[in-house]
Order: sequence, then C-alpha cells, then structure tokens
Amino acid sequence: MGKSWLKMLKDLTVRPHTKEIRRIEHLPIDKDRDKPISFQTIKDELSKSSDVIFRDFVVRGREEIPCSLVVVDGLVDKHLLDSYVLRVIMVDATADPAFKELTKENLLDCLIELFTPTNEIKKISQMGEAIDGILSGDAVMFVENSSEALLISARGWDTRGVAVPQNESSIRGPKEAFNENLRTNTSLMRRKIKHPSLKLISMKIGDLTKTDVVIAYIEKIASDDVVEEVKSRLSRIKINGIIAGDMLEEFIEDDPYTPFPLIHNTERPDIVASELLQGRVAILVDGTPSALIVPMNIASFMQVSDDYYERAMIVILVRTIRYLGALTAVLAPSLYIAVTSFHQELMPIHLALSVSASREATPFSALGEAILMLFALEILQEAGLRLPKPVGQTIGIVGALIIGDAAVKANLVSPIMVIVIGLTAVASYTIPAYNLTVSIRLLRFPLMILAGTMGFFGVGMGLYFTLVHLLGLRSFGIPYLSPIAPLRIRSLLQDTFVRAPWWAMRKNPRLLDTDKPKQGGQE
Amino acid sequence: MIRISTQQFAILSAAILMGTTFMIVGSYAIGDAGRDGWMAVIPGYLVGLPFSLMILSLLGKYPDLNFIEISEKILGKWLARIIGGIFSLITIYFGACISVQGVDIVNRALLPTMPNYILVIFPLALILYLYYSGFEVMARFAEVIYPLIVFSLILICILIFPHFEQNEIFPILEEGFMPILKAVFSMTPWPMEYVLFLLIMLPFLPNSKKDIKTMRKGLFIAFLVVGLLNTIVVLVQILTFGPKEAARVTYGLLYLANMVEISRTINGLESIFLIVWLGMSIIKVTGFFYAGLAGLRTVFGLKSRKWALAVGLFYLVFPLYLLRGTDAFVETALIDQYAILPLGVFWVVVVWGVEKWKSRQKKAI
Repeated sequence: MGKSWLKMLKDLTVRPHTKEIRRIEHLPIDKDRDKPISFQTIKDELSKSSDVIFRDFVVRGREEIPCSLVVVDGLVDKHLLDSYVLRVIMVDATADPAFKELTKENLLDCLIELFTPTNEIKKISQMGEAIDGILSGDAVMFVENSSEALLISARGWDTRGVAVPQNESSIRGPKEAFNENLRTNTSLMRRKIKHPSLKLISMKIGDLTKTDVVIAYIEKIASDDVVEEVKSRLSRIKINGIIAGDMLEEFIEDDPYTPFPLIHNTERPDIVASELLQGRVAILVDGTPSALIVPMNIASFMQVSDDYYERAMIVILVRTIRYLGALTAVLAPSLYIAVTSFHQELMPIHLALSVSASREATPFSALGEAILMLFALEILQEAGLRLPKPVGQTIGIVGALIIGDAAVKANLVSPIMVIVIGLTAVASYTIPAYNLTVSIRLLRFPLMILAGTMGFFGVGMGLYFTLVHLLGLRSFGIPYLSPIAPLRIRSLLQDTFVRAPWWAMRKNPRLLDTDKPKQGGQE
Repeated sequence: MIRISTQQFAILSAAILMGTTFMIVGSYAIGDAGRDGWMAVIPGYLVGLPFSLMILSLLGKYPDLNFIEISEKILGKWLARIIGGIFSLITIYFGACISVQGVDIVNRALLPTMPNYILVIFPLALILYLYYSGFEVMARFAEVIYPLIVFSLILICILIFPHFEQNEIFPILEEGFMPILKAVFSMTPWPMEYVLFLLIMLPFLPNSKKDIKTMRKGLFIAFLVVGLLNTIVVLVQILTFGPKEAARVTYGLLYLANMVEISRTINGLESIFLIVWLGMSIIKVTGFFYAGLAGLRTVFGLKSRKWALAVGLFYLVFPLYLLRGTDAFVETALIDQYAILPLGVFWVVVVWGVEKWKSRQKKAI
C-alpha cells in the first residue's frame, strides 16, 4: 500500500520528459514486428477488420505467381491503384519486351524498375513495415511464399480544404489555416520557406495510433541543442495513442505544474513560418489542425501575426494597449477590492464618496461582490464555448442581464463593480493566446482573495510570488521571462513590448542565442 | 553551478547596494550635513568600491571559491573558519533585522491594524521560495525589480516637482566640509553591506579575464547609479521639506509619495510605492539569508537546503518575539557601525594584502 503511494508520488513528481514513466502493454502482433514478412500472419491479423481489402490476383501470363494487394478501404486512392498498379500488372505489362524475363524471384524488382509508374514505391521485408504501411493508407503487394513485399504509396482520403483560421483571425496578411492532413500542413510551410535548410523530421508516436509527427526547423537558425531536445523528449513518449497534437504538450513541457503555457499552439502557417525564421521549432501532428511551437517566452504569447504586417508605429500603439489590457485583466478586480477595502486614502474625497455611495446598499464585501460576479462570468464564458451559435446569443443576452442590470437592481452588486468586472472581461480578450488568457483567469482569483484580506500588501505578495515562479520557468531551456530577465536589450527593443521597423531588424533576437542569419534588414 | 552574466551581476549589485537605503538616506545625510547632505551620498558609497575591486581581483585566481574558501587558502583553515563563522552570524542576524524594519514600515504606513504574523509569514515564504529557486532566479528578480524602483523614484521626484523651494539648498557649504565628512562616515557601512554579500557571490560569477574587466566597469556603474539616485532623493527632500524638517522625518520618501496627487483622481502614492519598495527589501533580506547560509555551509559543512528551514524559523520568530518596531533601526545601525564595517574592512584588506604579499614573495623566489 505504502509502496504504491510512493510510486504514484514519484510518477507525479517526475517530469515526463526527463524519464519514461508510462508502461505500455504490448499487443501480440507487436512482438512480430521485426520478423520477416509472412502473408498468412498478416492475413490472420487483419482479415477480422471489415475495412481491410485483400485483392488476390495473378500477373497476366504468369499464373504460377499468385499475388495479393492489401489496402484499407477509404485510406487509399482507388483510381491510382486501379490505373497505375493493377491495370499495369494485369493487362499492360505483357506488351513490354522485358516481361519475358519476369520470374517469381525478380518480380518485385521488375515492378519497381519497369512496370509500376508511381513515384513512391519500395521493397520491404519486415512485418512491422507491412502492417504500418497498410494501416497508414499505403498499398502493400505480397507475392506468395515470399518474405518480401512491395509498399506502394497510394494514400488518398477525404480531407477538409485549407480554410480561414477560426480562432486566430487577422486583419492583414494570409488567411489560410492548417487542416487535419499532415502533408497539406507541411506543404503550406514549404510554400512559405522554399529553402533546403527547412528540415522536416518525421517520427511516429503512439503504440496503437502510430500517429505521424513532424518536427520542423530551419538548420543553422534553430539551436541544435533545442532541436535535439525536442527529438529526445518526443522519442521518450510512451503512450497507446495520440489523438491530437495538443496531447503532446503535457509530455514535453518543462514544468507540468505551472498554470502558464510553455508551448505555443497556432493554426496559422504564416505564424509557424515566422517563428521558424526566428529559430524556433514547430511540431506538427497528423490529424491536428494546429502546430506546437517551442521554445516560447511569455512575450511571444502577446504577439499576433498582424504585428508583423502592420507598420511599426501602429504596432507599438497596439501592443501597448494589449499589455495594458493584460494588466487590467489580471489586476483590475484585485486593485478595486484593495482600494475600497483597505486603501481609501488613495482616492480623493469626492471619488471616495461616490464609490462609497454606490456600495451603500450592497450587502456583500467588495471581495464577495467580485467573486460572485467573476464566478457568474466564468460560468457564462465556459457555457458559451460549447453552445450552438443560435442558443449562444440568447445565453449571452440573459447572462448580461443577470450579471449586469438585474444584479445591480437587486442590490447584490454595486454598479462600479459591474463596470470593473465588465472591463476585466473585455480586457482579458486583448490577450491573443487563449492558453495565456486561461492562466490569467486562474491567477485573478487568488489575487482577489489576497487583496480582500491584505490589501495592496496581499496583491504585492501575490505578484511577487508569481514573478518568482515565472522567473524560474524555462521553455526547452530558454528562460520564460527573457528578454526581460535575463535582460537582452536587443530583443527587448526589437520585438517585445515594441516592434522595430523591419529594416532595423538586422539580427535575430538574442532570445535563442543564434546570431547568424539576419531576419529583416541587411547585415 | 549556474553562473550569472556580467549584466546580471551589475544589476544585482546595484539592487543589493541600494537595498532599502533610499528610504532612510535623507534622514542620515541631512541629519549630519544639513542642506549640504546631498554632497555626502556619492562619496559615502564610493568608499565601498575599492573593497569590491579587491574582492573581484581575487576571482580570476580563485575561481569557483567563495571568500571563506579563498581565506582558507590564504590565511589558513582555522582563522578563515572563525572569521567565516562570525560572517555567517552577522549576515543572518542583519538580514533578520532588515526584515523587522520591513515589517515595521508596512505596519506603520500600509496596514496598521494587520497582525504582525501575517506581515512576517508572507515575505518569509517569498524569501524561502526565492532562495530555493536558486541564485540565478534571484539575479533575475533583481533585473525586474531594480528598474521598477528606479522608475518609481524618478516618478515621485518628477511628480513632487511643484512643491520644490529652490532656495532651500542655498547657501552651499555654509558649515564647511566637516558635516559632510561626518555624513560620509555614517553612510560608509551601507556599501560594506554589499561588500559582505559580494564575498559569497564569487562562485556564481563568470571568471574569464574579459568578464572580470566587464564586471569592474559594471561595479563602478552600479556604485555611481545608486549614489546618484540616492543623491537625487536627498536633494528632492531638501527642496521639498527644507533641511530641518527633512532631517526630522525618518521616511522622507513616504511623505513625498503621500503628497503626490495626479489629476484629482489618485493621491497618496505611498501605498503603491511601498509595494515596489517591498521587492527591494525582499532582495536584500534574501541576499543576506543566502550569504549567511552559504557561510554556514562552508564553515560547518551544513546542507544549506535543510538549514534554510532552520534559519527561516529564526526569521519567523525574530520579528514576532525578539525585536520589534523602531528598535530594529537602532539595532541595524549598531550592526552596521560595529560589525559589518569593521568585519568588511578588516577581512577584505587582510586577505587581499596577504595574497598580494604571498604572490610577490613567490615571484621573488
């Protein structure tokens, strides 16, 4: 009993990327992965699945060579297989003079070199390769009693087209978003960075799902250490399946017990391309219409793609508003509580009288009012996320009436508190990254409690604790609060609170410590 | 061991050097030198500079060692350990006294009805958190807080501008140089507080020749900036209150902040200012907490992570039961004058001198 508790505690305290903490029960077929191909074993294993098609055939005029083509219905391009594989082997090949040389032994080589006009085709010899290929949408051709097979790339399934980003809208710049198809996503990136230094490293994660994962980075710009660390952390993941790329986040982040996001998540290929150019690394996962970007600092979560398409002067103004909005979202309720409960002397007398008059009929303390209002707001926000659009509007109106007009008329809250909470709610939407907004929502409640019990002293203590926590965080080795601490003046002036004009950005920000390539202006 | 950068060294030095002195610098300088008190601040700080440079000069030769370990190599094991033990006691005790000061100021100016244990427990938890987060995080904390305190000081000085009486600083040198010298002497222990912290910071510093040269520059800038800022604070107090009133008020800056009013909407900025000041106080107390524990580890071989809790317990009990209110200021001044100043001067000069003498002898041989 004691040991199991200790083990659970150990599992919880060990950071997932530093040690393999999950044990996977291997299925029987996994044991045969490295063995030579045996068509009968594969047939036994896959024939129970109704979507797997076994197409038995013989090469025309060579009835002594029985073959079988195995595909998964719905994952392959049937037209491609019919026209360029089956038709060629069963009908057209006989016209070729080389057909006479065909034997059971050289069949696969002849098919690769002479008879199969597809661009991706290779010989395989292991069970694991054959099974993975079939289940990933490739066609595998087996020859009776042969320990080798032919893997023909024929992937083709229905996907969503490239659509407009749903969660990261922009006024200027590209309007395309990733979709669930990994190849479409990599092609979107490749279309933006047409240089051989853009590297796309593939790997598979998930013992059962075998999900394709691509690590994208630009050689010589991205730090080799960071790239290696990303590969290493991903390769340590042991899990049955990855359904969406976002699941990887918890496995590879530096600190699993922080409310702050350490990995960015975007659905825009232009943002990914821009981050790659700054030396970051992107992780794309098949079936996920977004990419993960590492390493990140907190300032990057406050930037949007429009910042890079708008003129620098405008961006300075917009970013200032955004940072002030973030500060308002964190501090407005707690400062109001602290001032009205402990530090009335901060307000001139006429303002203090006005605030006091508005709170006269309210039965709750400022802290009670704020918690009540914010709790209602949180419920509305959470409910609004998943409601169908037509119902959502109704709920919005009802919510606004409940937390606004009706609550004030019932003397449950003061009108000033409604203004403060309304301002807080609106201000929190100035933060571009949703995961940072959620962190700030989480931070707001303890700060309010500290303000309600200890005034400015409490708020100050809460902020200092948060600051020390943030200062200790790292994202793939990069300090989370850089370029503020450790101070990197060039990065700070170039692209943090302000953005320098493109022509003035002569070098990459020192965040990633890669000085080599220029980013904007000429060297 | 993670080393901090030369830039972080300069900012952390400035933060520890400044600490909470800007709160009381006015009453010290003006109390001793009257309206000429502002002239004493920079010389008062610069006294610590040669000692700091002496310590840095040993860094290249003894990398990865703190000053107690360097002393062991130069003065011998037992003498170094005795001095190291005294150093640990002084730094731990002094840190506790500053924390009592902090509690007292917050209690008087911000939360007069708040029970003391609340004002002790929360900052102590923050100090322990900062300590356990490591030296680099402490340096980064200083990187964030120090610019804030500089900004808030300058802001108060600008906002109080309408209250200035230009004639208050004239006539200059009315009483001659002696009062200024007296003020310089009363401020001398403040840079020596930093010198004691520097002794233990050595293993965390980069030690290449180029870095040491950069750190020397950084040190000079830190001393100058802190001296200049405190000079401005003294000048503003003289210009606003006049020398007699400014000498009488212990926390002149709090009164200044209280006089500020912005557009008939916000007045009495001292509460906000105190929160920023609290950050500087936390850095300074953590610095001495760190120094004391590093000393204990070096001298007695105590594992500092466990002993941090024991010392933390002392920091909890001390402000609640052993020293309270204004007594802390008297105690701090006494330790400054009779412990920190003599220890800093004696220890640094002896170790540096003996090291120079030994290396000359080696060269002669």
